[in-house]
Amino acid sequence: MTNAKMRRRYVGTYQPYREAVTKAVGQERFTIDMKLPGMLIAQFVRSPLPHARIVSIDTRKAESLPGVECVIYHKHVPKRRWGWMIEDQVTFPWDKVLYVGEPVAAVAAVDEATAVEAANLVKIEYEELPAVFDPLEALEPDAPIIHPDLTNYDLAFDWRAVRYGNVCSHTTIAAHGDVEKGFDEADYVFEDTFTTMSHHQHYLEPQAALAQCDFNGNVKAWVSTQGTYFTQYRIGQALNYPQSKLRLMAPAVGGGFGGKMESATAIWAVALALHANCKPVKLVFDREEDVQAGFPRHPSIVTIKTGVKKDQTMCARQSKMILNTGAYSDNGVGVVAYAAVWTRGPYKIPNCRSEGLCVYTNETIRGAFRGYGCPQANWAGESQIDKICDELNLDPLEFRRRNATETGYPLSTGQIPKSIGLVKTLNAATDDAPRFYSENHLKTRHYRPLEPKMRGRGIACKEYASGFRATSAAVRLNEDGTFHLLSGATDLGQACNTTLAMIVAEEIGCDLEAISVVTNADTFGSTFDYASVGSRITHTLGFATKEAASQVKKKLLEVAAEMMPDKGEKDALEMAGDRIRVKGKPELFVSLKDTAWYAMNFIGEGPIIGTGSYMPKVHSHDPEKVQSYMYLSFPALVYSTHVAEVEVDTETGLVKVLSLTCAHDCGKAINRLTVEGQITGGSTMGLGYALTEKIVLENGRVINPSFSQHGVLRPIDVPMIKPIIVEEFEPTGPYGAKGVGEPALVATAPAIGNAIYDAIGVRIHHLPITPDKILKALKKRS
Amino acid sequence: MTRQIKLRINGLEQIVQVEPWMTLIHVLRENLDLFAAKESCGVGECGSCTVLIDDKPINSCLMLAVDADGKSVLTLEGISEKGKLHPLQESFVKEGAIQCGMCTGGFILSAKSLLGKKVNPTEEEVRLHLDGHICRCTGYNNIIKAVLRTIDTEQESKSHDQC
Repeated sequence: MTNAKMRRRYVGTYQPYREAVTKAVGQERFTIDMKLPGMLIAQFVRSPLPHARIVSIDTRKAESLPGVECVIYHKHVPKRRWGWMIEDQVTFPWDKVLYVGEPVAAVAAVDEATAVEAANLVKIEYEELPAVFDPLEALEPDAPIIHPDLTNYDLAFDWRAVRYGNVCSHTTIAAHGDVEKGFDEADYVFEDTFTTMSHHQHYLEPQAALAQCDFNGNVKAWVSTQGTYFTQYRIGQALNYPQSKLRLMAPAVGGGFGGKMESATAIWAVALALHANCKPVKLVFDREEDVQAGFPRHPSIVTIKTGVKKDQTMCARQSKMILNTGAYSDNGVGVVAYAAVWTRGPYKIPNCRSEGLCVYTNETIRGAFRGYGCPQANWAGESQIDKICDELNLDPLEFRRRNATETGYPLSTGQIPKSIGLVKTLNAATDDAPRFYSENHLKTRHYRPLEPKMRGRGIACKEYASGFRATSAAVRLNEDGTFHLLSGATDLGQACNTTLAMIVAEEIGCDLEAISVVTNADTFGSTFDYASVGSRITHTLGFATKEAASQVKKKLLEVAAEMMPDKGEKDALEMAGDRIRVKGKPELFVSLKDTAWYAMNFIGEGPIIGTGSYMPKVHSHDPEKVQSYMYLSFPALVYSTHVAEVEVDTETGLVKVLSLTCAHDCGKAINRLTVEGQITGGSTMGLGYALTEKIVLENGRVINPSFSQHGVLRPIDVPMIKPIIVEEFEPTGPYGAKGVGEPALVATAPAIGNAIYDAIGVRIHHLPITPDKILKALKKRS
Repeated sequence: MTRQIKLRINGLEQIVQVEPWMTLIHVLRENLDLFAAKESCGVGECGSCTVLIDDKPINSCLMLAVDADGKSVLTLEGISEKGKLHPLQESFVKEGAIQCGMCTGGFILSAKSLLGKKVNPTEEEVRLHLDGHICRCTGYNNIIKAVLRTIDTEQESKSHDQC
């Protein structure tokens, strides 16, 4: 089926991408750069309180300020709830505010200064209510209930929600074996708790949207978003507006990482535009707003219990994860379910059970962020494996190899992946070493005297998913033999359009330069794609794109065959760049240019268009064994191993990362340049997650919003990361491809934590591993 | 109360009416339609607003426009000439040093100020010189490689000229 050694012209090469040139010269436009004549600037009026009843809203003074076009609040928008899985969110609250920073009203004015002044003139009276910030407190029977009407909220579809109190979703996965029996069989049982804090995507381009409505009610909106169709649907839902009148476009997007999947701006920019007398309205966040009212990562508390037998195999694994989802569920339902799947880890464990609780608190909405629950699960699972190996005096590489999952072994949900390249990544990241630590090192490492600087190495691996949901593509032939690829993918910097163009060129057999991609993911001018999320564009949209390209190729060959009637049938013809020729007789050909012209004028059934429409099959679960959130179905599974070397300064607690090697099974790497870029970028974000990044809130207010306060790493903090591509063919992906965007981040934190343990013999259970935690632990140890 | 200032931007004399509280980045983007410099943080932490003034990298979000009166400012738009990429721009493209592109201008301009100042900088020295910049996409790998590669190429061509 696959010939891994087949020479391909584009797939598998290093291809610099076109937008890189326009970005290098400063010509590329982001939403924040856009200007339209008569444009108004918008400003939110945000709640200063974490939980309060809205007593009154008075906008008269704000409205009468010269230069103010409109001031809107709940009475100007449909009174309804909306959302991704649970319809719990509001455009503007009419009853109570649920988090500091929640938008309560919005202003559009001639310039920023006027908009800010007007926002300050909006008078809102609140009656403060008791608030809850700790998810464990929110689970107490006497906790303030944030959504009293939770069980009556509409659901997107019947995903068999289990919801009660402040729990918006309680996922249970018990589809593999019998965990009680498994623990009975165990010779050793380990139980640990690990926690992680929230951190922010900190994309460089802030959340932004520009919207304009014409007299007929047709809306145009440019949004810094990861999904124009996704956002279009959400706007339609929130504002009861027909999608046919919502034209969404995404200019170059300055980073997303999950935080621009849901809309922090677009719904409100459109709502304002509908009241702005046909004037365009631009809404751009500042950095503080983004962290307070964006969609950062869910903080987690994970308890994990593992049973191990004397033969060094794991026989049972059980976990319970509590996620703090903030004031609204957003992606929480999905994140908690995913996290519950990934706590098992990429291992053959015959008895598993995991639970996840997604808990409301009066804090910032937590949402989708690169890894989607897997970083939290992986931190716990892989740190514990390291602890198991340490206590049983086992080598962590040998242990992982012994327990490693492989193609044919089910996930904890019962689904059987078609392609598992885990062991290859273990080998690639360690240079095929038989052991990770020498026997002598394991014996002596904790007896070394504490020096000012101590070095250590750590390893971690992971399993995660790639690809899902609906997508489509179209390829159009131009009369001169060039092509247009219609793609609904938003480019966030991952150069998806180049990857997709490479697939088209490879499939058709034409020159890459002949393909032009219709960018901006224009909902009027491209084809539907779910969104640039979930590591799915190369895999899922790529599959549909390949299909579209193959149709075009077929039709081209048919036309060419008619143009060369004496030279054989279309099966005897092949594409060769700018021409179509007879196989084995290259001197007999017609040019692609001529073929295209004839196809549009005389030969064939009409203009040549190829289409692809794809939705990976949803694996169906036994409802008794997998509860709450039924979408746990993954077309492709991705695996990786990260190896870290650190140097710990035992006097300051600072950790210097000396090296990081990341081996990723991403199926066939279509564009090796961008795949390596995702691995190095994602693992750097993982280093930040491990060592420095956190959002600190006090009574629901973020106190460290800036890049530096948050702990974003800089050039001097990061080593030259070594990405290694491992290709395990994936039958559901184009040319065997899987994804890599999110996987890149995941296994970094435990690799670092395990390296620190190797260096100084202290295991930190709570991310991020900041210097104060190391110093405290060292003090305790001595 | 607006003031008139004179700026020499990318070699061109520009006269602009500005309010005294306006930052240089505001004037570049709003008054002069020069979009390459980006405002990501507004507090001088990320370097995406970088411009060169007298060949020195400056955070234009921290500089008042009135303080730039009479100065020579180089933005990203000004470093490629007549449709030809500057060697740094070319390296950045070839090495995959650009993903979303928001930090690119800042890195390229700061790197430009390093060229010709130091012979054979080490990787660590390059990282230190660029430490005022944040990139969230690339992990810095390819940015550092692109800068080192440009430095190598520049020095190779200089030594060829000398032969």
